[in-house]
Amino acid sequence: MSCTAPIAFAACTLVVGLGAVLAETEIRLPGNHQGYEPLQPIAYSHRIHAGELQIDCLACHYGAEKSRHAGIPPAEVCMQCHQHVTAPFDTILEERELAAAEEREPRLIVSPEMRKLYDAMGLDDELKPDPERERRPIEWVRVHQLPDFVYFDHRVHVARGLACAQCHGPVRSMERVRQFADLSMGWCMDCHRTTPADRNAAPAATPGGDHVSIDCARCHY
Amino acid sequence: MRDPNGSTTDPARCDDIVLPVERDNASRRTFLKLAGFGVASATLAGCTRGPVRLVVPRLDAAEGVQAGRPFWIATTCAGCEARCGVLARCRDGRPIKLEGNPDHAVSRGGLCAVGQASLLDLYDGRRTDGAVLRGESATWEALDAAVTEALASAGGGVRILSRTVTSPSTRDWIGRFLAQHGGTHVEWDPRSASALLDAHDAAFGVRALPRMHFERTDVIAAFDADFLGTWLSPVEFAKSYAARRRPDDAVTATPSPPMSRHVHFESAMSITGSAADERLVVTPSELRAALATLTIAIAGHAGRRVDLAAEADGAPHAEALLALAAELWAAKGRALVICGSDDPGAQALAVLANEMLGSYGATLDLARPSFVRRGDDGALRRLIDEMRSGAVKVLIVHDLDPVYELADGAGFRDALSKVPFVVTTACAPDETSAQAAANAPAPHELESWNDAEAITGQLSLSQPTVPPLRSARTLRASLARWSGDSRDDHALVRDHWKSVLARRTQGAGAAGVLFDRALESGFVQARPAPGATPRWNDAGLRALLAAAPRPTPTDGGALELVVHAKVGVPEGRHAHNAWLHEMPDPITTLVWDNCAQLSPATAARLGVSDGDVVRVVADDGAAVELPATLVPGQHDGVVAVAAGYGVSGTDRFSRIGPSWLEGRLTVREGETVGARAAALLELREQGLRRSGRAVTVRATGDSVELATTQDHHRMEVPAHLATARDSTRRVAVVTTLSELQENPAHAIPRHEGPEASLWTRDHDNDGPRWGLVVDLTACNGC
Repeated sequence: MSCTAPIAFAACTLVVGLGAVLAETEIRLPGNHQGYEPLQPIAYSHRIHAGELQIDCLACHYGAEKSRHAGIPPAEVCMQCHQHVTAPFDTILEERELAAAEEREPRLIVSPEMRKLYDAMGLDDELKPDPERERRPIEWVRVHQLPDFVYFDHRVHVARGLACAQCHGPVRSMERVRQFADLSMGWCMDCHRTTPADRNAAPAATPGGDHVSIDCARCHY
Repeated sequence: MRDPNGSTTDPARCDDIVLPVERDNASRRTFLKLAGFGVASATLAGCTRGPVRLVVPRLDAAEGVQAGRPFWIATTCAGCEARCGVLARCRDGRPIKLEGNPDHAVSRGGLCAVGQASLLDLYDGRRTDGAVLRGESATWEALDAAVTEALASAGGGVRILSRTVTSPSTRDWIGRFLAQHGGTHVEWDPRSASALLDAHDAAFGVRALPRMHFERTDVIAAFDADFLGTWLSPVEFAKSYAARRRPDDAVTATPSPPMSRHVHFESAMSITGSAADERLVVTPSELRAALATLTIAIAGHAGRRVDLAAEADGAPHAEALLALAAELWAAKGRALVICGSDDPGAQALAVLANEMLGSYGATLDLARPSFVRRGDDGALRRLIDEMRSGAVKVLIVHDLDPVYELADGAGFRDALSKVPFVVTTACAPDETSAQAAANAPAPHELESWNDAEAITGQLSLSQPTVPPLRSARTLRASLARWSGDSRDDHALVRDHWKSVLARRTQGAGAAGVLFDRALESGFVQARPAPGATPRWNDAGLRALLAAAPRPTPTDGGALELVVHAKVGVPEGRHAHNAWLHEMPDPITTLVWDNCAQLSPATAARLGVSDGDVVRVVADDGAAVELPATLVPGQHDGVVAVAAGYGVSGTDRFSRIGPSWLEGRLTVREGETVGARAAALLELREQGLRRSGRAVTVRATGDSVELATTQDHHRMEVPAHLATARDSTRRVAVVTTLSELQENPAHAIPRHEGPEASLWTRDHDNDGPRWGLVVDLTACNGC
């Protein structure tokens, strides 16, 4: 008797749980991570970089043109700007004004988030390479993840002139990156069925037209 | 926060439910459990994720390195001593695939199964991490201190036992080390070519292998030499052999050389024999008489007296041999007799035949010899005697597991226990390292600096394709350190290239960039290393022939044993490579086992069939039990057993594999994959005897199920599955060269019946298509 109780409890939970989900009217298929927005090791803001500063996506994610992966840029790419920009601009400005008022050289202000980048690069407090410090790559949390059985290549999509936002959504307004599309096969097919093979032609209205490939083997091989 | 669908997703909540991070140590089982939980909870909570995956980009933006884009590093294969050039395809910092390097002048883009699979050994979890001292993990400093102490009291009793060392920089350091500490270097190969080397030493005063040029050869007579599969340098040979196996050239291009003719004599079945134009079976004991018959006939054409009538006694296939001698003589200077026998007498006869045919300097190059084998069986025997007598104080065993390879027949295990200090360089625990005082594990070739000169003047370089996965040190670096030079391998190899090998290149300007060019292309050519000039010595050859006892045929019900090498697992050092075990043997189509191979007639006589366990017993009582398998085309008087199996520790494979598919184990706990043929080998005065030993074979009454991928000789569709069309379809087209030259069209098979397609009709497939065509004349089933 003692073993049936937990099973009964589990069954009840399942029924209640399913009921709750159905009531929410959203059944999410396994593997659908739409809306996933994990915390990242550094509070990097796409809103500031891509939105306010209008840095082009491909400036950092240059892999999208060269590789199947868009890739997360090496820390050295960050350092191209952040060897100079060590903290939010207003904080630096404040320090400059204060320094001017106190008639001294402005101190180097390093924000805690930027310090994480410098730690990764093994830089000391003056941002000089310190051989004593271990250089440790940053472990970002992956947001967009396709299953291993599908081959996706950024190159062809970028070459075809697809806007990054079409699949990745309004990253320019995202503080932290969130998975915009559900990345399901149906979602891929919706686009493949309506995109003409000829890049100059108008989008085809119905399936069966002269669209880009929907062969199984195009992505699954 | 709202997601695009409008439903509320609280990121904090999502993060709370996020499943445990999948790190390196998360097992597949854990992953599946979590994934299963993920499915269940996804429907319940509507806000959950699979395992969190990390993306770890590089810190530096290295030029040309892009996540997801593979790049190639030119390096050298260490699967065997032929040292083919390879290109390692590296993705995200790890080699993931090896291919042949087309710029390598010897292997020319080829790479055999062993080479391809050697990648897996890099990632073998069994590999030793760091120095081992008296069975315990130790620091390298402690190991160096122990070795230095042992060397100090060795008093000249230092021996290095290794397989053939092809690396010029390692040879250089072996020389320097031994000059400092006093001692000798003994080379011995499990797949020995000692008899072949001895014959050339006796006949020419040069202990080297002539480089064989099949591309210059019109008529090939091969005796028990599986040169396309496992013998000496199979990739090089397959390339040069295939160059003369093109019927298209013979039909169309008039000035091109004619197709070569290949007559093969062997006792077991090999892929080389199956590629031959004519294949004749001989027992190992008949082989020498067959070679003598051929040599006498060639001498007759040459008008020379050879006095070999006694040798030719009892030769089989006398008529075929006379016809072959005539063919060889007609192709004088474009003919080749090769012999893979371990009988120095047979090798002496082959050398004599080649000399009369004018092969040296034409199809055989002894001026620019090959050093894929240097091993000396006699030197090994003397070493074992020295070890027994206590003269050896420090023994360094490199790249070799003699305790396994020699079994107990040679008494190596006992001799080893008499050596006070044994150092091994085993990259994973083996039977010799288990008896050693210290083990300085060698790194895998793909993570180390190394070089190779398998054929003199053809220099290959190995460079790391990945940072070392284990703490290891090459023999070269260890010897340098024990000689007081603590530089790393990069410096040692580079220094040898700049100071020694560079002297052999043309011009001073070229010398400086030799190493850099090798870094880029993996291969450079230089002048041959200085060596003795070959000088014909008829008396020496005669003496060798007279000293080698004539093989005696077996009597009664005994069979002659052939211990051969399989294409997949040619030696014990590959026994931990599951990819090679999974590869079906091209002759038997067996995977995961070695068998007692018998001809169908012999099997019928013994009352055994496929899978029946037999006991193979040698005259001294050494015995091996293993399942029988039937191999059509094998000599009726022979039982063939593959070496390289029965390696301890291979029961590791009992716990892997898809247990839900008819869950049978490939190997049981505590047992080994296959049986150890080394127990049946015999180390005699003339060298290690791998074939010709008299054995009795008896059924034990047990039976096992063999794992085979295809039944024998099923080229046709089985009758119960055949449709009307199958009966007319020719799978392999067989024709003769003269027929083909007369009517080139007749050998081209045509498809009959309607074209069928897998696609439905509404599915256009006008785009690019591909087809696979195998040139069956060049195909050797490798």
